[in-house]
Amino acid sequence: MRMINAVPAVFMIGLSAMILLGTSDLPYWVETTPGARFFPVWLAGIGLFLSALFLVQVVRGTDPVVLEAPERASVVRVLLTVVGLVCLAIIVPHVGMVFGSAVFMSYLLLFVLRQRFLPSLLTVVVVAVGIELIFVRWLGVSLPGFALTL
Amino acid sequence: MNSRNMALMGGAFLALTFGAVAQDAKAPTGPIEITVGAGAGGSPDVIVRTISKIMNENKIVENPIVVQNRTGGGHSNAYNYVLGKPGDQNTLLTLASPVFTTPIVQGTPSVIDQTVPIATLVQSELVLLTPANSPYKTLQDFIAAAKENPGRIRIAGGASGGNDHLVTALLEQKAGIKLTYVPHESGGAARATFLGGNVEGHFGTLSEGLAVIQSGDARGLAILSEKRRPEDVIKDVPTAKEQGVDVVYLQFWGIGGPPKMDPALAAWWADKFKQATETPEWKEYLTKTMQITEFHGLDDAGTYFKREQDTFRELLTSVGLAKK
Amino acid sequence: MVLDMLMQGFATCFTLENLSFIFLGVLIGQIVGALPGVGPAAGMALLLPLTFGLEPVTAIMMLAGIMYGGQYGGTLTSVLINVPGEASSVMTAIDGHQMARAGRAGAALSIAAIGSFLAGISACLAVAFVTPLLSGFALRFNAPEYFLLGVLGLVAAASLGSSPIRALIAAVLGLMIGLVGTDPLTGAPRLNFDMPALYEGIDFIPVAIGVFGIAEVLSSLERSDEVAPIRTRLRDMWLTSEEWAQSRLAIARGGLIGLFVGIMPGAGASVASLLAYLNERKFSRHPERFGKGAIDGVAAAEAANNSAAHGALIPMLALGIPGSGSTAVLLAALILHGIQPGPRLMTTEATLVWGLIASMFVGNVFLLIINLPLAPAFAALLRVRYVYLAPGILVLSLVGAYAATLDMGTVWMCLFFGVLGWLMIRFEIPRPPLVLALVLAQLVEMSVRQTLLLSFGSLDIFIQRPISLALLLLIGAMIAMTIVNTIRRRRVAP
Repeated sequence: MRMINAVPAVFMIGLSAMILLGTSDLPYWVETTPGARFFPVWLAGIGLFLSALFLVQVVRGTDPVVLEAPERASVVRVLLTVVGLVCLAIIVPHVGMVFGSAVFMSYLLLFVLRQRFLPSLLTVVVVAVGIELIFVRWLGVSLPGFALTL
Repeated sequence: MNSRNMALMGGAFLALTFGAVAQDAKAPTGPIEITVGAGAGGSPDVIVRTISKIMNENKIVENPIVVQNRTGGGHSNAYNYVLGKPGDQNTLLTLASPVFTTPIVQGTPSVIDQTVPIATLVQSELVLLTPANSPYKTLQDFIAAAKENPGRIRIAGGASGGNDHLVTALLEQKAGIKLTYVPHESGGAARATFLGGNVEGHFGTLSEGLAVIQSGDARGLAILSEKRRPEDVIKDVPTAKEQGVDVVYLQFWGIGGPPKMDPALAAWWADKFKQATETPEWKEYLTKTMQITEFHGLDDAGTYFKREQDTFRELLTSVGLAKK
Repeated sequence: MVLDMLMQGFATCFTLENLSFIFLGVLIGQIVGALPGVGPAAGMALLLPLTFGLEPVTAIMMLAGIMYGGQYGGTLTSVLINVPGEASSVMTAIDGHQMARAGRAGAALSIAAIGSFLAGISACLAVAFVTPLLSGFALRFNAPEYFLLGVLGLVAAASLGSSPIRALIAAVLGLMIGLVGTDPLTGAPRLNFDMPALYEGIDFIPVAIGVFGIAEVLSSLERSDEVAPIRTRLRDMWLTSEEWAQSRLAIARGGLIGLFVGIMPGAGASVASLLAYLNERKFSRHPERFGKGAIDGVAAAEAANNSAAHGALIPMLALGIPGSGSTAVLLAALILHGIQPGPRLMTTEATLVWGLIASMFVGNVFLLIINLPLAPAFAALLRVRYVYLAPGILVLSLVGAYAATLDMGTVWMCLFFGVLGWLMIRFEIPRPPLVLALVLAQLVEMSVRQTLLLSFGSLDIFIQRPISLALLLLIGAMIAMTIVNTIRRRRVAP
């Protein structure tokens, strides 16, 4: 038995508790029909029940799924990608969607994935130009533009 | 108040009175975005797309006008976007009922108090419908039935807190009755429930109402405005007032500018929208959709919006949705 | 009579101008359908102003082309990069992308195009010949039936995945996501954590893009330094006769389900493809292959979403009630062109309506011609090394999420669900039940409460209405079958 297997159950318990607390000021039943809290309460209840079953499986070792532990290097790579995406979302309102995306793709290809320079540059240019042409020029979607002064 | 401010105010006053003088000086440059909180195809979307088309095609406004649907959050994506651009020259906000009601329901600061009022564009009258085979011939029959069996008369309408819901609340208040309101995710879904014969009542816009009365699916019980409509099929439907229930309720849509918008620019826009609403194309659109334009500009529009905001707050409080 | 009208419609259609605009429409639909976030409805709205100079009938033909063209296009990104181009392509992504990973992208795209075409043409026939009949049926479907339909979907969705408990946890998670924002019935704020981005709840688009698209990329990047490119050989590009045999009935069943769900104003193409997929899984002789690249799953889902997109026109034409987001834009376009929709549209605007119906036959043929040669061409895209595709997929996902609402909040939501999806892969919690449950969450919660409002709290309403009763029996039978099967399996395997 490995405690890491129990994470989904713990997550679900936390979520159910949050839902029960977060809806405590809403009515469960109004006159003839369920109220705003009816579904949340039942869902949280089912969530707790499933989590309990899941925990029992983990403790007794009857859970048929065997989780493989990820390699350290791959977890680092995923984390770096996610950090890059978060930074992208932060800078987009200031430097624009197309430019921000180009920076992000360069970071991902050259720094995280350590690819060769020229093919990476080509990828960045193709995607950035494609987005500018299709979304901005053709469809007229107003993506955030370059506004460093903000 | 020093003399400089006085002079400024005087200038603004002049600009208001002689809109034509100000307009060339204060015309915005570059493309204009009209922000809509509704999705493509929703009533406010159709209205602003129609009027921008008219303004561009008739060269009333030379700047290209782009309608952007910033959907979600009960129009809050749209109004927060505009509120976040104080003084901006190229952005306008479409004022639909969620712009008024979302802040009241969520307990956030009023949007109307922050934006610069420019114009009211369209009003739409409502008609109370009942299935063609229902026993109620008049609004009185309907109300009498509701009095006899409180809560047994059902109304199908759009989302809670929306116009259909609020006008139901108003009718309950004025007639002293209790109805069961069945909300739907959209007006279309509510109409399906009504046409399927599942409920006793439904509020439709005049054009929707006319269509179902004409096809023999429904009967009009009352028009909720000051006077009857002239159109053939619907001219025999009396107003609620005639039947002794003082319910007048107009859906309306308008245009506002971002906070701190230059008053001269607001005046320029008010003038342009007024011109657009006087074109034959706009009149034709109104006839086709059976809507009306009771145009108000600038401060008049501001008073109109403030009054409607108070109505919304009162009705939302009465249905228990206003956040204290 | 109907045939005469239809012939007249074809006559309207076959002018050079109209044919060109139908082609333009379906081509645009194909493209915007493939772009995540920009669905057909948004594409139609974006292009609406460009139609102002056209004749109303030409404009409507083109816009409708975008609507059903989007159903063909949505398949592309779902299969190739596991980012659903629009909501109704989620079910296609599940098996279609697995097929692509096995080098069968060409086959998946081909069967999707063929399935969409056959279902589309049949749905056009239904629109032409039985619109009045079907619109009556659509009205008999209301809150009680929607509730049971939703429950049916949930019962079936819970059976996806490696272990029932994991699938159920994912489904409950999806339903919980559906709670966020606003209580759908009363409009009272619920679990919105005072964040404006959550006022109206969590939309399906960022969740689907995140949980499928972004999570898939993260998981692929993790696997090894060098993700092996997918080997696609030319002879893998086309369907085998065995695959075709498997898919024929799937297309028929999927198309039929799609049509019926599509004409109901309360359910759309996403619910249609979901039900068709789950139904196919029940009928299949190899249910274990579903989720691992079953071609009949792709065929059923694609047939269903296309026939639902066409079916949504039935309540629009016959009753003036939009059956989907796209038909709502179509209605708006009619109004902008000075035509008042309503129950009498088919008589007062006969030329326009029949021209539109005829144009849909033509448009579907165009789409088939566009898509069949394109299937292998696009499948060849996967020969590009994955490391070079990954950044593009991530960026396209985020741009798509932004384009859906023009708000950064949606982008953040998409990122959040991307990470959640990656964690789900790590902990072997299946992702499809989550997305499916989210689709059904509001339908189920809203309709059961509407039902009890309509019936003043009495549960009898469920057995008094014939369609509702039939659905109730169906659900009962399904649950009973599952229980019997489980017991039997336990007896066999000691």
